[in-house]
Amino acid sequence: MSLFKELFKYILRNAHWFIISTIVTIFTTYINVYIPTLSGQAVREILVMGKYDMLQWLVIQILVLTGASGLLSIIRSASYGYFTQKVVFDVRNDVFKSIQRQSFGFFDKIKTGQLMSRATTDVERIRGFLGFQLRMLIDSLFLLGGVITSMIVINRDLSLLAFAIVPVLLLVNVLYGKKIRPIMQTAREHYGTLTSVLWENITGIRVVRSFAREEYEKQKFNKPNIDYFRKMKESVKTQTVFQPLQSFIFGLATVSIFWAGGIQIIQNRFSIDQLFVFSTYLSMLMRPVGMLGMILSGYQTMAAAAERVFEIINAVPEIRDKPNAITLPPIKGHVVFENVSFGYNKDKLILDNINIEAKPGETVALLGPTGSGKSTIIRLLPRFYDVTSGRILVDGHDIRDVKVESLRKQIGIVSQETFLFNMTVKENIAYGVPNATMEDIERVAKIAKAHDFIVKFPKGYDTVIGERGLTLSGGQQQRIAIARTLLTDPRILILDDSTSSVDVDTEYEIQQALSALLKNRTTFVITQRLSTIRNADKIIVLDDGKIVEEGDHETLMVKKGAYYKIYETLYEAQKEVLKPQSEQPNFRKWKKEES
Amino acid sequence: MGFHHWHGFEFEQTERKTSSRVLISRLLRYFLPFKKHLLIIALTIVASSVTGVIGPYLLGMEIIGRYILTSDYSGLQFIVLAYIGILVINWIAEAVRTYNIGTIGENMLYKLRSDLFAHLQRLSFSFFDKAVSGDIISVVTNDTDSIGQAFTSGIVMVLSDIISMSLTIIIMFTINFELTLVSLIVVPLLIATTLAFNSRFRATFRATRQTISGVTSKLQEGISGIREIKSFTRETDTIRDFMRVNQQEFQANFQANIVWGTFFPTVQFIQALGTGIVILYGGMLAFNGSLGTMANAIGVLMTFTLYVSRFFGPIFDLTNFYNVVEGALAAAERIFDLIDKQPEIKDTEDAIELQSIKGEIVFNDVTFGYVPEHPVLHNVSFRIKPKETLALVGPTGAGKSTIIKLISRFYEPQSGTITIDGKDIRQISQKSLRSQMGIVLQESFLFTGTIMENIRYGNLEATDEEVINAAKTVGAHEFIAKLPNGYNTEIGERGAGLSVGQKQLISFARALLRNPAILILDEATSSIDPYTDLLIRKAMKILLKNRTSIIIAHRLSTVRNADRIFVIDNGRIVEEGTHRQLMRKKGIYRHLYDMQFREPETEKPVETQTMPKMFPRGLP
Repeated sequence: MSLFKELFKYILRNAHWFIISTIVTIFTTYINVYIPTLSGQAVREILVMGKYDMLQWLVIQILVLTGASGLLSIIRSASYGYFTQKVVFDVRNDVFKSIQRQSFGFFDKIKTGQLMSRATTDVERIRGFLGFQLRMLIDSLFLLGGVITSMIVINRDLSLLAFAIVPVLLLVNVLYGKKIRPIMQTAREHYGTLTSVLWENITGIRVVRSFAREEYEKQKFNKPNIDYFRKMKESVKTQTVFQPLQSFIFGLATVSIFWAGGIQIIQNRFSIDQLFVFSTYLSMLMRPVGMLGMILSGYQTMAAAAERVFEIINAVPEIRDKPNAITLPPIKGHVVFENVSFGYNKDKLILDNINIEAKPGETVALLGPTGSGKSTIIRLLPRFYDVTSGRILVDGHDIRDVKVESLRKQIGIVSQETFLFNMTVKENIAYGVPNATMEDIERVAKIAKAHDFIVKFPKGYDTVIGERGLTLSGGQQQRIAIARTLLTDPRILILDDSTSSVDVDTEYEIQQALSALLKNRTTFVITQRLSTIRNADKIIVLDDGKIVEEGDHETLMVKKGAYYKIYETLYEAQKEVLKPQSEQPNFRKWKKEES
Repeated sequence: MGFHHWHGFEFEQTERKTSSRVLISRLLRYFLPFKKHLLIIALTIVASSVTGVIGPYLLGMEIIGRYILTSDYSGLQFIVLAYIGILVINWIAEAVRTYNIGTIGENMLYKLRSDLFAHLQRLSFSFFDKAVSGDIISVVTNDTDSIGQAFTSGIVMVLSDIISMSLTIIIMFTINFELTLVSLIVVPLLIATTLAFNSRFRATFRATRQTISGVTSKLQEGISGIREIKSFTRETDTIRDFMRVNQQEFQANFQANIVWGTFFPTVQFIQALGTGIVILYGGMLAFNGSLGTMANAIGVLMTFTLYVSRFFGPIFDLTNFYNVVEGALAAAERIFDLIDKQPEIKDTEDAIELQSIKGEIVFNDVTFGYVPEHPVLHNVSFRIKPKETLALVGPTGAGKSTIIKLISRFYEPQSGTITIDGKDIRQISQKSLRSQMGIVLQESFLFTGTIMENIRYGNLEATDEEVINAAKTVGAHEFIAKLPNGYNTEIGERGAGLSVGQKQLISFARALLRNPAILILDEATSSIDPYTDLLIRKAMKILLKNRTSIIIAHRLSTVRNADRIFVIDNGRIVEEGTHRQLMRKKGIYRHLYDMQFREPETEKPVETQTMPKMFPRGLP
């Protein structure tokens, strides 16, 4: 019921169009129910009266009325169409707005694919229901009202006969819908599996061949293929039973009316023109009745879809500005984590009583194995998540007391998984400062070592990146992202460089770009780069959500504790790219020369 | 009315290269095994058309004209029973037709999909190098579907429409020639209207498709880029952008509503016109007496009005038929194009099944190019001893990957031979050849399924224990055991949820489980986190033991530990030897090594000067 209320809000917002279209529908229905009586009159004129002169007049009347009803129904389609599309437009906007409002916890729970399908397929179902089923329902209700009344007025006995057969058709329809829906549902699922097996086979064809697994793959594909085939055959059988039955019942109803009506005519209790009108009404009755089954099943699909859609729209973002939140004034960049604990779920803490202080301009390097909590720390600072207990202070302000926007505007984030938008290079760099001048854009691009490759693009800074545009290498993407952050000139910088998936060729350029970025900012960095770690003012070693060691490089090396071990490992792993101590060729650098 | 015809508009019309006749005759071949069913369908089409068309005649001419109006009570009983009999025949015919069409359609689609898939498993790498995955998938799914639809709701429906229309017109002519001619006036009108609207339907359909894809891509961007949007606080602009494309989508759909909303009233009006004409002209004829008795005249008018109202359906189907058929033929062309692709590499008829081998590989004067005019390898000859580890080094595009692809016989040399244990690999069945090999590709591809299943892909007969042992040997066990469901953890598409390094370890385990005589490994270039990196290095040592191994090396440790190194450049082996030999030789290998000293100045103080100071004892 609450679902209906939700949907009703949107309907209400566009109610005027709905009301207009409904009023128009009443008129068209009235005309459409009236027209057959004119045809009946024509039959009577010819047969009973034996007059021809009235005929022309009747035909003109029929044509004029059909024309009028046609015009009205165009108005109806337009107003109702506007109503449907506007509701869909509103719903979809609200879905998108809600998505934009959500904090990160939301995206951890609902995957991109699911969100996409809710905002597209599910919204499409609402459109389908409003645009087709609901319209049919309204049409049917008025039409049934008009037609049934007229039929009873014309001939009560025949009406009773007709109303005895019509429900059978309704029943058949409902049964059909009930039977076919789960079959088609399962069939669709099998088809989905089939597509994904196919997709994997094609994208993984090299592995398939390497392991000579063609036969195995054929079997793997055959399973959903045959499952789908079987379900479809089942649906064919269901169709075989139900579909022809409908026209049979309709035919049966018609002939029964002609039979019973015929007897009445022979007995002089009924007239041929009335039978003509009556049979026209009968056929008008059949269509909406045939539709009712579909409307019913349409409602169920829509309801499930709408529920998923409204779940998104009504999701309350976990992170919101307090009512009395202040705008964070321009900061120096003094960051304090005070007894911070955090868990994505309440029962499992990822961070346990963390205390960190970073003075303005300092670099804090976070180290630790996967899952130690280092990524979580940098997610808390821009308030992507709220701490479970403790607090985070920026220049003395608890970040929960300031407006989120004013906080994030002063924090720059460069992460490994760089996302660039499907727009020009220029627009991408200016993403944080949309009104930046070309001069500024080029300046930061140069600092980020991106300018040189950008100007080589076919359209330079105006080259469109992404799907239908230019594909960039990982290193190029990262440098554009660095330029993008440089442009916003944030006081606090967060750098996630945990796994360098960058091609070795550009390793050095990126390192340079990064060091330019780090200058004069309070920086929190996750990295494996020895130079960055060594130069950090503070190194925090995390394990299992706790700080196990803390200090600068020299102090920690002397300690020979956790940091020493990590450093050794990192060194071991990276010595290939470091200056060699003995006769060692460096293939990474070599590759760079070649390219 | 007519909404199920929508699919007819989905196909963009593109130029076809193959003639319709060729495509149709090839398609027909797929229906040949169902001759009996087709015959039944043909019969039932005729039966249901005849019984369908006869209805209005019986109602108008017989029931009304002949019996009711002449008060023939027993005649009425009889004709009503006859009518019910016809309804039953029609019912049965329709049911039999639905069943047979569905059966043939689904059988054919099943077969077509199986054939296409099996064919894809035969095609050589050269095909997949050029093809776009999405296109292939669309051929196997969408294109087969549109052929199915063209058959079930296209051809069959149009056939029965044509038969019904012809029968209707014949019956009308036999009743009254003059009235029939007049009644048919509306037919060209209906055709013209439908055709006129047809192009607008397509235009609106295309517009809705385009705008929805605009909405989808903005949506995708708004979700995938959420981190950036929030970091740069661009929510408001993003929403505004989205609302703009959403507005276009709204417009396009509203437009479509209006087009369809205008079409049906127009058709209705034409039909009313038809009825009007029948009544007026028929009335005139009735008064002339040319329609016989008044009772008969009424019967004629009834019948004609019913028939005229049935013109529209078939006309709509027929005008739309072109779209459906054109779409199906375009689909058929793509399907046959794929089926016609011949695998470049085929087993010879007397191919040898390779049993256990020692693993000696010999290249004898091998030349190869993906495009014959541009050889990638020039006259390459070498011999790899059993159990030797060979590292291939050289710049991108030098031909390293090509060498390993030729050994796996993913491609065949243009000239020269490749032998394994003295046998030309062209004489060996592909399956038995690859059964002797473990191939680890640069990008570790994993399948959807559990980790257990993924490792077992290497050897389907392996027990759980053997799988776990393989994982332990390569050092993957530790992280797998830590996963929530251990070996039964489901991994998503392309191994989502695992790190690059973890995926690589799993693909090592997969190759190890095969216990291959020859191991072929293309090292990953993307670096992984240092902890996994160490694991991988350890795993490599185990993996290379006791087998012939050929590695495209990117890691120094691999190169140093190899028994032999080939330096490949420009499709030739330019140097070969051990690391020490090559260093001493002061050739290209040494030169390349020396080049690293050109490293930019700024890095030196950081990396070179502090390092020895911090580690006086010298790191390993």
